[in-house]
Amino acid sequence: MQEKDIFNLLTDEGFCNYCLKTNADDVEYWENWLEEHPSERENIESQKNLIILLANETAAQVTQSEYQKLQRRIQLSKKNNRKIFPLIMRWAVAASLIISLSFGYYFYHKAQNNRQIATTISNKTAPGSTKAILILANGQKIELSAAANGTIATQSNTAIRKTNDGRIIYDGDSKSLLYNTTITPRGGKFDLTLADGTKVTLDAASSIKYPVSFTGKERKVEITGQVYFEVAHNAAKPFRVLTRGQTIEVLGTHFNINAYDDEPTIKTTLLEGKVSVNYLGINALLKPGEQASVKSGVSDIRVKAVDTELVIAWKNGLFRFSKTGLRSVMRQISRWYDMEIIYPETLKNTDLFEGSTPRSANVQSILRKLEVTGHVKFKVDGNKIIILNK
Amino acid sequence: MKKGLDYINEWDAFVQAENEAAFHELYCHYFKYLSFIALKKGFPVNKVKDNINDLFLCLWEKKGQLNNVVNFHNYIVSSFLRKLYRKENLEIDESMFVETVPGLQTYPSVESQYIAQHTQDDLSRILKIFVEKLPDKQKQMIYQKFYLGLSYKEISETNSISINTVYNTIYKALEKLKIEIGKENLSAFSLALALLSLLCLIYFQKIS
Repeated sequence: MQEKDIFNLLTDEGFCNYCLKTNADDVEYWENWLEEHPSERENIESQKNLIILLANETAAQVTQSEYQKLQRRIQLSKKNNRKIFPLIMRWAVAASLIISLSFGYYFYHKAQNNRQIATTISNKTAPGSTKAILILANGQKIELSAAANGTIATQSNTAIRKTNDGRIIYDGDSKSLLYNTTITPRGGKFDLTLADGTKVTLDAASSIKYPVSFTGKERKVEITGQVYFEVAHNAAKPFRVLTRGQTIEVLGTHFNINAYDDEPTIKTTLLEGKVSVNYLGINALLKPGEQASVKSGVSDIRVKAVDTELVIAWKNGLFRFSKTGLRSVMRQISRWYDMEIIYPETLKNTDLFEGSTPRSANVQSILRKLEVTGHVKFKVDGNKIIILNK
Repeated sequence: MKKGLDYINEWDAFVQAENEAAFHELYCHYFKYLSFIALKKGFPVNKVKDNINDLFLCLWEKKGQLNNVVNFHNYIVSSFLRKLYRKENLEIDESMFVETVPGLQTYPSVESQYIAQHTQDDLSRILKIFVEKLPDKQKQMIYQKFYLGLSYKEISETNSISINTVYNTIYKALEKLKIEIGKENLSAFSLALALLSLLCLIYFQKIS
């Protein structure tokens, strides 16, 4: 008995952790200790109970006394609101109008002056933008962001046109089967309309290979990375998407494919219509709102309902996370900002991130948000993000 | 065990029907949750309490306009962090945070409810009266130590006092409790014993 008391004393912090279950090691330690000393169980249990009871009672009282303070403030603000608020409001509105107008004017001018300077300073940590490379059937490469608007190339009978808002459109009806490829680099995103009217959006580090015009019985394209499709309806010519050994067959629908090499699974998410996913001889039919996951080399297709808004957040210019682990978050950041991620030898962080943030922000501001909310620290060094345990 | 998004019914009752009991439930949960997050980050305890009440005052005043909040848990935690950091000149304009805070036990846990049910009324009553009589400072530290599970170092930082003072304050409080239990002549021998070793434990840790 004596021995155990002293023993306790020295490990108080650990014992508390055991009672509150805040530290897995301490819980395990004490549970093992109890296994070995069954005669002490009753004593240890009663200590634990006392701590828990005391903790609960104190927490309840502390919370209650703060809640009473809050109630008093609510009463007070109700009274004050009636008398003073309207007057203050009028002045506040007038003042804020004047202030915001003058600030607006000031910054407008300042921005005009700074515009030239800003464009010359290149910042590695800026977000991705609209850029892609088009590879024609003859091997010619065209940088699409640099190309002028209007017709940029003609192949067979099909004209390739760049619109004012930066999209690429295929017009015409060529008889021969010529393949083009559009590739986005890391940090690039691109919109494209194929010859049949199908709209395609490529995320960073993605590609699509497609015929200049769809002449055969089917419309077949190949993709890598992450691509969002709005397939033009044509029941006579099914649309097929090939990626990493998986085939998706569509009639006319909206869907998203995430097939990055560094992601553990290929995910096909259906927003509208109907698609059939085929992998290693297995078929799965998706309904809107469902997602099919396929693991490379495993002949199994898992289908579950998902939040489609979350899946296509990238297309709408957002990072959105929902119970997303750090590594998955960092993969997305790495692709969009074209940065390398360096992990510590042992990553302690097990946080799940939740929330959304625009992809137009620079990388530092996003990392700061992650730091504020999770147990992790970042250092940016050139084009490397170094992760430190907190 | 209830956490974060499990309070969706309370949130709905509060937003749609302005239900005060639901507001109280939400407050009780988030008071502990948010103070755990902020105290772990080393913010002074008074600032933390003020910010939580600022936030809930805002919520109360805006209750009619909260219908379009998609994820209330995100909303509450990010609003809180924004309030907390604004005064530190730190910019967080978007909501992103961890839903699961490692280390925070969700109370009341199944286990503690079980214990409460099986404890003699005598003891519960003594504890209640005892805690009521404690000075605020001691209550605060017992809450931080035994409920939130903060370390002595963290408590000393957040209250801006020395680690020694933290030990002494908690020690004194527990000593008082021992006397109270003794006065009532409780037959709960093992409890008194437990308390004794708890006292020693703190005492020895202090000198070690």
